Amino acid sequence: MAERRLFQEYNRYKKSPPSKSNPQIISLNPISEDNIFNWQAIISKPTKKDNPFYYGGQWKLSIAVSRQYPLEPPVIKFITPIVHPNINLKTGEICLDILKKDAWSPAWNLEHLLVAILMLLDSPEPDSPLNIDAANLYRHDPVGFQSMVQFNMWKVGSFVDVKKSTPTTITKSNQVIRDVSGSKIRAIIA
Amino acid sequence: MSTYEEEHNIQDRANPRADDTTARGRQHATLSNIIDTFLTTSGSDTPSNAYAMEALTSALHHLSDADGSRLAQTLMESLQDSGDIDGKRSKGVSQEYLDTLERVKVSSISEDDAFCPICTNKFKDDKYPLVVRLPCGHGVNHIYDLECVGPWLQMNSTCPLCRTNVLEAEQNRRKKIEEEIRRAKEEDSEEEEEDWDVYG
Ligand SMILES: [Zn+2]
Ligand SMILES: [Zn+2]
Repeated sequence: MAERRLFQEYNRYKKSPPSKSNPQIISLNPISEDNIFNWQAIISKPTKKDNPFYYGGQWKLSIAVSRQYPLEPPVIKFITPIVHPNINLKTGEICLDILKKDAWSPAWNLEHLLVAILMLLDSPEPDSPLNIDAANLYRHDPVGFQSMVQFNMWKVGSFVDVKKSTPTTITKSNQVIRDVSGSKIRAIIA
Repeated sequence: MSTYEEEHNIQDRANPRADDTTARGRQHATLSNIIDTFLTTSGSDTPSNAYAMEALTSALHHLSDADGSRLAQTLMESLQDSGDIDGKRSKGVSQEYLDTLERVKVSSISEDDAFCPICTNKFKDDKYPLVVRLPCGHGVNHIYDLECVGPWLQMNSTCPLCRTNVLEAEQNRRKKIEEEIRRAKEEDSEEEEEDWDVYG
């Protein structure tokens, strides 16, 4: 059942790409058509309106689907390092209830999960942290948290790729001056 | 000797009165055996846990009826709570339960594009469809291929679409019946009950 359902999802995403209904989803596809169980996705938070902390960022995710899918949830990890209370900075592991067996529903699909992860970026839950430093900062010093997030994005180079992404409000003229811990760092996009 | 809580029939959930329970003799031993059996078998995710939970629940019901004890009630509630929290216990339904699910004739489905939310195949494309409706209540119509929802319910007794616990829906129905029977009994023996209300 897993294989058939995954091919159905894949065909549907080809027909109506998730990026059309949700511009924060840049791509969602199997890494190779030879193996329908290994997927990858790119999600983004293009502007400050999209997210006050992660704006300008984009992240690559790996999606490993088991043969029990959709009875079992896939395993999704951040390949691009990200500073977030509920995401392990080193392993990319995500603490999100619906990715766990108990809260997963077989009526959900991969696109739903990406939407849930995008929501997790908007509302971290510092009470169940996988990154304690980020959780503490998020709770007590939102401005410091924003700086840490943006500094890390600059360090790992995870800013939105303007050439590849569908048009967003970010343009070349919209270069961002990022304030990182008091010092000005100029991040040039594109 | 009774505590203030007992005499006023107030439950102290933070303190399940461990001291009291040790003095309860044979009945307590039986109860703890049941609980032990339940706890040691609850590690695996087999449908038999549903039976174990059922056995435990009915044993506790029985006990609480027999001596009017609040302890059984408290224990039962705390077990149900913990079951909800770690979500591991009594999660699946039995094959017998699956057999009782309401069958839906595909010809009676009005919407031509209706599909099974799990495999996402259209019901009308299936040569040999076997479609069931879950007892979610509230007038919703959550239907699935039995082939798809069966394995899911055996692991997790909730409707994939609305999260209604189908076992609980069943349990509530049964509880209502039990309560009615109990109420009928109580009316018969109200005077006697009062004498047995204070214990310890
Ligand atoms: Zn199905
Ligand atoms: Zn339902």
